Amino acid sequence: MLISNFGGGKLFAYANKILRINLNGEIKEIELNENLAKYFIGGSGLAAYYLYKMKIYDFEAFSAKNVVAMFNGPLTGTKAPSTSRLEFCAKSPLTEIWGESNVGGKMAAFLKFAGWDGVIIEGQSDKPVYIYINENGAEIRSANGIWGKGCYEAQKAIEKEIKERRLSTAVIGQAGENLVRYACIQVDNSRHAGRTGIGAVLGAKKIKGIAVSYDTKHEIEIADSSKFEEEIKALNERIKDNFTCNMLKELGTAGYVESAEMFGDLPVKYFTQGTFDKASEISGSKMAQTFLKTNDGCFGCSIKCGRVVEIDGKIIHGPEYETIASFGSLQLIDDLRSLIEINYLLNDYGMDSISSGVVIAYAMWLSERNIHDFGIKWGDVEGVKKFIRDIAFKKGDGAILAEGVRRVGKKFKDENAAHVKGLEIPMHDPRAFSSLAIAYAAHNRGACHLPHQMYNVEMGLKIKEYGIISKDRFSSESKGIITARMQNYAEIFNCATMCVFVPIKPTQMANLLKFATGFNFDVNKIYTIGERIYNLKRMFNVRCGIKAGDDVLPKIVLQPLKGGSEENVPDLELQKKEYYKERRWSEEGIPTREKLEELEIAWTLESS
Amino acid sequence: MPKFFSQEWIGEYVKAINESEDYEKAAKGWEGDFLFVVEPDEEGEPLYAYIDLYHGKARKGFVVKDPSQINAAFEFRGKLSNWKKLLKGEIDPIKGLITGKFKLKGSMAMVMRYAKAAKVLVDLTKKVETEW
Ligand code: SF4
Repeated sequence: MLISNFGGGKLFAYANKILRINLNGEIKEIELNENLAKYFIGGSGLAAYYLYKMKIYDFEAFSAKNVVAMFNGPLTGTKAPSTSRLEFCAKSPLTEIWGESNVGGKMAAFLKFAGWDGVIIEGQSDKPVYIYINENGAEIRSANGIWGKGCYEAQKAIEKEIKERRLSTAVIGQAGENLVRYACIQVDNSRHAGRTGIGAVLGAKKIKGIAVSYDTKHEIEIADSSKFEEEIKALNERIKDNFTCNMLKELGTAGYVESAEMFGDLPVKYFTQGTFDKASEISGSKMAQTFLKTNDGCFGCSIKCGRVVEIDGKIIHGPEYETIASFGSLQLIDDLRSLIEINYLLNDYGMDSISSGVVIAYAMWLSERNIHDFGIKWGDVEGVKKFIRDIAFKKGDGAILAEGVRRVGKKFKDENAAHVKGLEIPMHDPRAFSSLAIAYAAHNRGACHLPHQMYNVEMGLKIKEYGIISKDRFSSESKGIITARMQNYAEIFNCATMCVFVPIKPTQMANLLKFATGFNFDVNKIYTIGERIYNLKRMFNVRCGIKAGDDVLPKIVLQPLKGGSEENVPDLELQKKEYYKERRWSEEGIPTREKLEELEIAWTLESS
Repeated sequence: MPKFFSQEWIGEYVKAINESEDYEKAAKGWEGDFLFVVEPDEEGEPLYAYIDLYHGKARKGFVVKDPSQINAAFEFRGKLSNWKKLLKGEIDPIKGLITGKFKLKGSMAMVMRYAKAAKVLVDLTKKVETEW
């Protein structure tokens, strides 16, 4: 593949332009190259290409040399449903490898409407700033008076200053300012780029927020609009008829809590207990019967899985499954009201709820074992709230927990920190669904359930086009193979960009991309692109020093448990062998030259 | 051996439910009657059964000839081949719904909340010898 520069020509479905902002004030516009669009599509695919080429793997995550990329995709801003998804990418301060986080809201679509496929942010400011982007480019504005505020107030302050009707904002809270390693970015008051701590990278750059508005909407040209719309119609019908989509609309992601408990998929008491008899006290069903006012969602999405709740006369956003589990069952908190309050605090300070939930549960676990007394016990709601504040401001023991479980484990010489490559394990248990073992162990950003969602495959979702079928959720056989394939395919969601909750078939995805862009995509081609991107990110991680020995799981999630997981322990070694073979990676976990040549990214082997 | 969805089969199934401590525990707060529908895989007429489930017990159950006469709070329907898989334990009710093998009408909040009870209900069908 010949990609010599960042230049290009006019393309269907894209805005054709990328904004390159250096915090020293230099702002450039670059054209999107057609080859790049064909080979990496958009979203985290394009971001991975640029960030690799910029060699950010060589630098410290908090240094001025780290770069933040935020990209939408060719489907963003079109009529294709649930495609206002933005990918924030950078080197992660939590894992010190490839970092990415996908977020909804309006920003991805508004960025496209303003005429941008993506933004690349370089350098470091010495004073707090926010970036204002519109169709004319970008402005770096002072964030004096905004710095120091929580996410909700900061968003209001920026909105007040800009006074544009069509405005979308992304901000960090105090956690990001104070470089909590799992700080998130809050978009449009309710959506979060949570994982891998990119909020802290913005904090290190002294960027309090990013605002995007548009006045005249950039017209997105579709290559074959009648076929594109036909495909969308069929997909919308599928969404309307889909049980999970309806469940998400009615109950939110937390509608899964009781089922998760039944399968043994709901982590309880820091991954050490297999059942939680209070599951229905903290679930989406309970929320629907108590605090729920309405549902809401990202721009252009009919599923609308977001929860809007009322508490003490105040209308706020309610927690989703991962937050409910990581602060509920994981910490033995069984009071939904408290979880709603905790969720609000996490959002306001701007902290990833999975990582913070796991790290606080770990503090409870370490305290119980007298390894270190954090002064917090299971189910201690007030203690948890205090710790959330202390973490955000790095006060007392909060400063220790602000570093994430891996560093906490190291500090206390304990091997039970629940993470992979530094990223805290999310709220799905590999003992319930065996393939999650290798899915977490070998994931490019560490332990993460997205976008692959292997639990769906273990619950019977079949993707026959790629031979992704699981016959037995407890068996480890063939799980390395199907997980590698699912990870490859799932990359497409983060490039297109489309929400992973959309029940789209590969043919529909390929057709949407083909009719939108006019590129000759089909089911096999999009799979190869997904595989290319997955391997590109792996090569980024190889440059960061990742090897086979890092593709492991902590022993805390490999102990048999009674309950829905029926004392199953996945065979990670078997899965890993299959996985490497399927991927054609060496025993050291490095993609082979042949594989990289086949994927046309052998240039990643060139010395840096 | 009673034929699947015959009056005899439903009667034995209701008995199995009422003898189950597991079900009683899992469905302690459940209130809601069900219309179960077996759709033919190819040609033929659907089969219907009504079961009234209340606080961990089955209050009544019978074969339904005319579903328009029944106004149940929930309807759970699927193809015969999928019912066979369900009863053999190859899929469970929640997985069946998630993968689109079964369709549900009625309060999603109630069904998701009683996921375990639904699983026990299916497990109990194994206590009824079934002729297909
Ligand atoms: S399903 Fe939920 S997360 Fe996905 S786009 Fe819709 S509202 Fe956003």
